[in-house]
Amino acid sequence: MDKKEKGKFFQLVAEEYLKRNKYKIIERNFYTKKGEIDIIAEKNNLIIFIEVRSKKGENIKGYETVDFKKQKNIIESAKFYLESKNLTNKRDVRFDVISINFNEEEIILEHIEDAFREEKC
Amino acid sequence: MLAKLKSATYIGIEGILVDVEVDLSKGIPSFSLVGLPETMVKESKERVLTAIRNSGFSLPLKKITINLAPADLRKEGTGLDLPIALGIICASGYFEPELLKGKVFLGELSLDGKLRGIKGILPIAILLKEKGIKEVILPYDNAKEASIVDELSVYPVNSLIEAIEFIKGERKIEKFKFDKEKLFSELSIYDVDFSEVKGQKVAKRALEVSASGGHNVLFIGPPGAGKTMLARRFPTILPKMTIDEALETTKIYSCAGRLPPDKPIITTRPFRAPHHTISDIGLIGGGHIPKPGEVSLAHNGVLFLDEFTEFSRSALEVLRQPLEDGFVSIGRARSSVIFPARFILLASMNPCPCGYLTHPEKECTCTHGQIRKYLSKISGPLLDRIDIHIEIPPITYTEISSKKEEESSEKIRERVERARKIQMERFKNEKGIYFNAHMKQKHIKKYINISKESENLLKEAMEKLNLSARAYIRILKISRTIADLEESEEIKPAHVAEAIEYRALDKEYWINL
Repeated sequence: MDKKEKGKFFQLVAEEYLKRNKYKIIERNFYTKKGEIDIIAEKNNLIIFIEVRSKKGENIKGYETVDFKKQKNIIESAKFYLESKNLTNKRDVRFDVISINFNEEEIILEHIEDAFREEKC
Repeated sequence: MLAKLKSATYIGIEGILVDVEVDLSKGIPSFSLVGLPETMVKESKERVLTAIRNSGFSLPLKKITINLAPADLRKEGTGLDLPIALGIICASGYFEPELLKGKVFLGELSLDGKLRGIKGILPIAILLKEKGIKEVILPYDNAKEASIVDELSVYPVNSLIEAIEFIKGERKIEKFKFDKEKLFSELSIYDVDFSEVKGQKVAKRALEVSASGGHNVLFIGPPGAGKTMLARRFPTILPKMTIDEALETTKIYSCAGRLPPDKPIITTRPFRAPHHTISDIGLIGGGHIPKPGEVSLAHNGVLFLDEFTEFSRSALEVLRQPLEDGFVSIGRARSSVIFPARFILLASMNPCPCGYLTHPEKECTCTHGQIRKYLSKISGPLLDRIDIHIEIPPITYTEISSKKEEESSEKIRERVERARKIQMERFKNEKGIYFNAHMKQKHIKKYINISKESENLLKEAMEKLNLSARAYIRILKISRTIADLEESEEIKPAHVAEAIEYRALDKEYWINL
């Protein structure tokens, strides 16, 4: 499996997990100038932007790789999405991270709700 | 969803009311704080959000906007944490905004949701009384200080949760009661006493006059004569503080964060003795956000400057304004504040660099130029503002070994208190004047009743000693105090003569050089 295929595979794993947990997936791989949002889902009238991160082994957790710059890009992309759908300031929004650690035997999935918020000074 | 509540902070030593408005709206979850917050207030974000989470509430998934009004005033201090947290919780729908009306909230949050005491409670409490606000909710640490203001109902709480339970009426909190009269009736205990000082009659008398009328004193004498020893015993003869004076001084200490935790109000006159390496800013106050300096911390008390000539010239010259006006105004780019600074200046110095110029036996080894340079540190205008100059002679063997019982501080203080009572009666209709030394021009006309004989004596002294107009007025004030000490309504020639005696000393050194 190369890098691209691996990403695709774990995104499917995450989607499967979300569906089981009654999330409605409304968008996949939403591309903007600032970057990509892996999954956009809906639950309890909330729009949720989800970043999926996978990492081999136990040493580094997937969520550790979502740094401040990445968060900022996701937020900017989310703003773009909301604007394009004419939803800005009309819906409540949350940012989640699904972090997957795997090895040859097992896959461990962690879902972090409300993982980050916009920083303003 | 909008929540509005009242809080307060302070600038300099004056309280200001702050309206905290919290709005939660849909959109990208974020937190923004507007309304000119200073760094301390900006940082409250992290404390507030963590405290809300750790108190068991979920942080609303909303765009949180907080406004601190009036928006054109810079806000500092950590006391806005509690109202911001309560505003967020209220706006998320945990309780009705109506419940917040008519109350003021103050307090700093720790990360676990407990409340910590803040600075500047007394000026805020006084402001609330003026504005007619009756109820205040604040941390336990501040309850005593706030309850000094009688009209206020103070409800102390320990944590954010307690505050919310109290607002919702789920928790009963008794109005904080505290017996402040008891604090004033307690006498201060000193481990020094004037009875330990042998001889030095003139100096003791000068200190007595100074304590009675609030006059400034300068001691000049060789090393080892007892200048510092005398000065250290000065607080033991100072008259008691009135409630008004205590409140004025406490306001400064409160904003400087210097109140002792067990004592919410300063009831003994402060005695400040800064080291001579102090900077002019340290002495007068200042800083990016102006803080009171030593002169203000000595308000209604004593500022003791040991080794007067060793202070830097700039530090000494900044003393001029507070010595004359009784306050300092500090202007910075961001704000300008006025700190009261009315103190008795007690200074001591040697007559020359080696110290033995006035010694009856020891030879002075300084050159004329050295002495001139040394004394020129104390400028004329500064010296002019010191009413009493006293030469402290070295003590002789017979004096130090004498078994004669010296007068105790308590006896001296009784006389001082008597003179003080006369002054209080005299100035009862004059706001902000407590001592003879505080008299302004109009009061001098009104209250100084001088006999013809005394006037002639004063005229003669003026001409002979080349005294300035300021010196003339200061002599009048000291004469008034000396007359008060003898409970005499009229100022007699003997009183004026003693007052002139206190002025004459500077001429001996400063004129002849």
